[in-house]
Amino acid sequence: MIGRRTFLFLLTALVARLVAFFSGVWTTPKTWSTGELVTASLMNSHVRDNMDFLKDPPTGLYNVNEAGDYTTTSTSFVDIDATNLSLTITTAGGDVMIGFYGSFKESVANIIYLDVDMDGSRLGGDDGIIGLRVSTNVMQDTMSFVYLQQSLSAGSHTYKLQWKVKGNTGTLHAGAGVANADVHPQFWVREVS
Amino acid sequence: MFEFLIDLEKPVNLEKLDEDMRLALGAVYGGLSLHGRGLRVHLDDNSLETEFIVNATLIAHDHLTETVDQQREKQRDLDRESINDDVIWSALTTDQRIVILRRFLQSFD
Repeated sequence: MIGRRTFLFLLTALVARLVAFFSGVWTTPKTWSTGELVTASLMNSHVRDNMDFLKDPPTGLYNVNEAGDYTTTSTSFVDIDATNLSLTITTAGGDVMIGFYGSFKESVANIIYLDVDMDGSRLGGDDGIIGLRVSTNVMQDTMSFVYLQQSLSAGSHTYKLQWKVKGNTGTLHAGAGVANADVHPQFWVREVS
Repeated sequence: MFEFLIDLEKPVNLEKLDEDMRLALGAVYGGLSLHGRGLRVHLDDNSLETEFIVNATLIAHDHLTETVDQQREKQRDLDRESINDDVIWSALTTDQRIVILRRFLQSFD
């Protein structure tokens, strides 16, 4: 028979182990001392769990394959897709890399701008991370970026891809079966250090 | 910035609707986003009055009406096609023109 306190302790330890096993947790590697006893617990948390974390870092990814292309006439930055192009990761604190590529067109040649909103603040600010004068021709204009965000605090962070146009109607092809423009953009975030 | 989400029940001409909304709402209007049937109206104000104007503008919207820019673009396309036809006709030899005209006349038999 085990006591109630012992049972709760064992249960907590088991839950913590399961969480670590399935999600991967980063532990700042310890500084070893001469003659220190290397225990299974230390090896597991400082070597195995950290290796697991590095092999499978916090990542958010969306491959676009929609029923319709995205369009906007907004001249201020707005979410392209607040549900799907919104990625949440829980970081250990450090640097995060963000990537996107996609093909665009305009109803009349004009500029389309892209930015990323993190937890309510735009990373690029001003006119965003990238902009391009886009033509009316299908599959002529592609935008992509890789953005390194440094020294981010540990915790949950949500990244949303945003856009605006200088004028007219901007379109992002979304793998919607449009003739000669059935291409699939990708948006991703990954903790990298 | 606020958003009104509308599940569209009829087709829209986004450019024309944008023009209509801008005219009806003035400075509080930020633009439209469309994905499938989901229309988002971006606004600086989310009052009931603004919502009423958005809905009224959408009801009054006729997707077959074009903006001045769209009409111009269409006319430009027609002019371009017409010029192309002229250029092709002028590039033909007299014999080729006779063959085409003969086929054209035969099509009325």
